[in-house]
Amino acid sequence: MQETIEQQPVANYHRHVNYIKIWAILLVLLIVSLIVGMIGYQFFAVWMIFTIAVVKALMVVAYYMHLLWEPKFLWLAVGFAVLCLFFLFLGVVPDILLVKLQLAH
Amino acid sequence: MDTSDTMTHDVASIPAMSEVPRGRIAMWWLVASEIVIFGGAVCCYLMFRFRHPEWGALAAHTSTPMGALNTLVLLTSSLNMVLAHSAAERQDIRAACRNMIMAMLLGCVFLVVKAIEYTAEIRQGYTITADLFWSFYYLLTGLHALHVIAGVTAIFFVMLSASKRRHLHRVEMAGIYWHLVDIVWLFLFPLLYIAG
Amino acid sequence: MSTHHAAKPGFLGRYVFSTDHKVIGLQYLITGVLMAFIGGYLAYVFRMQLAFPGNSIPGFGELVPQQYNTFVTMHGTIMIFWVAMPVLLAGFGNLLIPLMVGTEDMAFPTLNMLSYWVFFLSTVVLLGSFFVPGSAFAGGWTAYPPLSADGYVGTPFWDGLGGHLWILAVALEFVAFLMGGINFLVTTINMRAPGMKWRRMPIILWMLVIAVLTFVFAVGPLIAGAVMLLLDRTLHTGFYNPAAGGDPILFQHLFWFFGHPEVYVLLLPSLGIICEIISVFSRKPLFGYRAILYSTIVAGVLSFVVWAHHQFIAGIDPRMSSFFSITTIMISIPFAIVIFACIATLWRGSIRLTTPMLFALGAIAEFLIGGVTGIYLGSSALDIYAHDTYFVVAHFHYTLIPVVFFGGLAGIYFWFPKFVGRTTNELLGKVHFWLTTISFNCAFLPLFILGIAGQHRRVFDYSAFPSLMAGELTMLRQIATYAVIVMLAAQILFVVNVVISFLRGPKAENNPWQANTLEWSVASPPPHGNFDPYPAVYRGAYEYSAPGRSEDWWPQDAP
Repeated sequence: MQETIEQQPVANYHRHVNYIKIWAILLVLLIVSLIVGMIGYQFFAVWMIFTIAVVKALMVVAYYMHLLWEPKFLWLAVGFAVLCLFFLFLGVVPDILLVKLQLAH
Repeated sequence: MDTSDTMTHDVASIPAMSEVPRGRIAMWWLVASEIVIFGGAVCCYLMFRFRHPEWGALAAHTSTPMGALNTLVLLTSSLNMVLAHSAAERQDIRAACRNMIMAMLLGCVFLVVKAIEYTAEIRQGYTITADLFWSFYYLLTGLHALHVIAGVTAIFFVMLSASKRRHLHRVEMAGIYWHLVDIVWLFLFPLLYIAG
Repeated sequence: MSTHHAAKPGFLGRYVFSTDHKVIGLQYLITGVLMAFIGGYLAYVFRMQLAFPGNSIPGFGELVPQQYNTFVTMHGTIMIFWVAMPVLLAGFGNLLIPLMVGTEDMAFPTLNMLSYWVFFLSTVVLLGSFFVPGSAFAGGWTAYPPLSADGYVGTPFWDGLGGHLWILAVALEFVAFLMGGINFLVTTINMRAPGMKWRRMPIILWMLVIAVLTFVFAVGPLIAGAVMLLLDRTLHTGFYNPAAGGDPILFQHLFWFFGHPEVYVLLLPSLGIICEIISVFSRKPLFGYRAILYSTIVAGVLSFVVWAHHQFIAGIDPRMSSFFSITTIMISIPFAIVIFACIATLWRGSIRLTTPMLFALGAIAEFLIGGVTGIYLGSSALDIYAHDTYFVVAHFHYTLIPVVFFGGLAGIYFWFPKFVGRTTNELLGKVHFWLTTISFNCAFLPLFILGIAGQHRRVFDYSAFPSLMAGELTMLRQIATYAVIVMLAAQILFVVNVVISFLRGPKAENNPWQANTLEWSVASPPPHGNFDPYPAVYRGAYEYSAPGRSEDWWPQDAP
């Protein structure tokens, strides 16, 4: 609260981690998801691939975008955006999947 | 009524209530609004993907190696951007600019690879009107490509001022945006390429 | 203190391309009010057509069906997006947020200016679309496909230009409000004066913040949906075309996922204005500050799960209809709490019936009618009968006119002395209020009856429906039309009042209403940079009639 914005362009409460290590982990995850995609088991593969995608995204958000060190209200902002998408998906999906459109030909 | 004579605090500086710099807060709200834009489009795609199991065969026509290459390119570009951010905080202008140039170049490589893909697909007749799957494919990747262009442009201007030691905190802001573009691709890649 | 410039910028820099939040706020406000007159004129034209079908309309001429569709579409678009949003959210938000939190300007003044000029550009595009071949968009302000998308398949690109421009204008407008909205959020989060804790903020700031949040989170899917609609129109993709595997109901969902929270984007700032005004003119602390706050937050979250009640008749999954009925009826609870809190604030207060207070009270009274009919419509069983009739038209005009019109006018009368530095004429204001209220009720109460009688919406000419041409129904349509004319004419009083007060009204004091919030502690109009020195805040905004004080108000910045 003591800091003024004009004199202090960057508040240094971020920690810098070893970014190259994060990058290496991301690459490994990418390769794993490619390999999983080549194996036959459809259901398992899809779940694996999307779990990996979420893990990768979370790593980028946490370490590259430094959300890990940001206050909770910014977590809430991002979290609520994702929550809204769940609302949207759940509200719309019955009309797309369960109610069959009847076309007049 | 005038109450200025009752001031007891130091008024020489503009106080900030939270410790987070305002640019960073603004960037995160921008990120939140982009999440709902891309997320909305992805939700629509997912619903129709469930409705049309036959799209699996169409998705096989997208080039997984090219997509994987682009994922690698964007991940590396993000790494450069975050290195530029930490260099800028150390006041290391040369390293910051070098890394931003790398990030921009990789962003351009991404666009070139994407253009090659588009060309191959259109040659095979998979245009935006060929099928709803391809409509979604071009919608999602096209929106993303526009964001890549915007990101490269933003990084370019940030680099210009950073090279003159001005607005160094903007390196981080451009970085947050660039990582967002990266994350969107992390989801588009499995959605449109591998999990066909 | 870098913004306390020594050198004065020129006319353009001060009044046109200004980065001062007060100038930008007034620009938004004035643009919105001017657009309201265009929207009102359109309403006049099509109401005349409905009351006297086929007759030449004074001040316009003969109306053809296509023009009727265009006018109805543009009336809705203009009133929601180019009047309500700029006046309530952008206008009052810009004017009030920096002053009420106690800082010099928005967090990003240049972005703020850019926001207005993007909005201005969108206005030009929208109005320009009237003059392109094929005229402006005629697909309804909700732009449902297939009418808005498929209808143009096979027609050349240029014939659908009005619709393309409509999408472009709305998109530009959203960009403008996203920029402005992020500015509002950052300013409120980061730039509050020392002592301005979250719990001490005037309730209108909370309302504005929650409105902006609702907007930011809801608008995304519609932006994606609008891109798809544009692609359907121009490249003939099939996102909304069932024959190509798409689904038109998708757009309805995307539209209302935004469209319903949008209602609260308009409602919340207006409720904030009403709360402020009622507390000031009752000389009492706002009843239940925390109850209002939590209700608003609950309403903001709930607003994301009620949207499909606009689509009960679209053939959505009946199980989902039940779900959305329940959430819709639930969302009336938090708003009922807010309204009760306003009424409880009045209880045993020393009420001063000034013009802004009259408008605030009018807004609450009229909004109750809109809100209660909303509960009827929330149950899908009744909605399926009433939705495509004038009952719904009456319902949403009874929500939006109190909110936008009464709330907005209350705010304008209330803060006019602050931002213009001159006081408005109370007598003219009161006449304006009574004329507006009476004519408003005469215009829209008949529509409830017409709707229950089965008068469908979006019909150009009822002459083909003998049952709807019965004597008393025709008379009701004509009463409504005459009332609209009176209501529009009454606004001339407002214009006269504002113009005369601006030119030669008596000079306003710093705090003419004896209010507590920070904006009243500075000069009227506030100087560039607002505060010198910056204020400190010692208490909440509603310390009226505190015991043991000689004055019945206690400014937030007085120790």
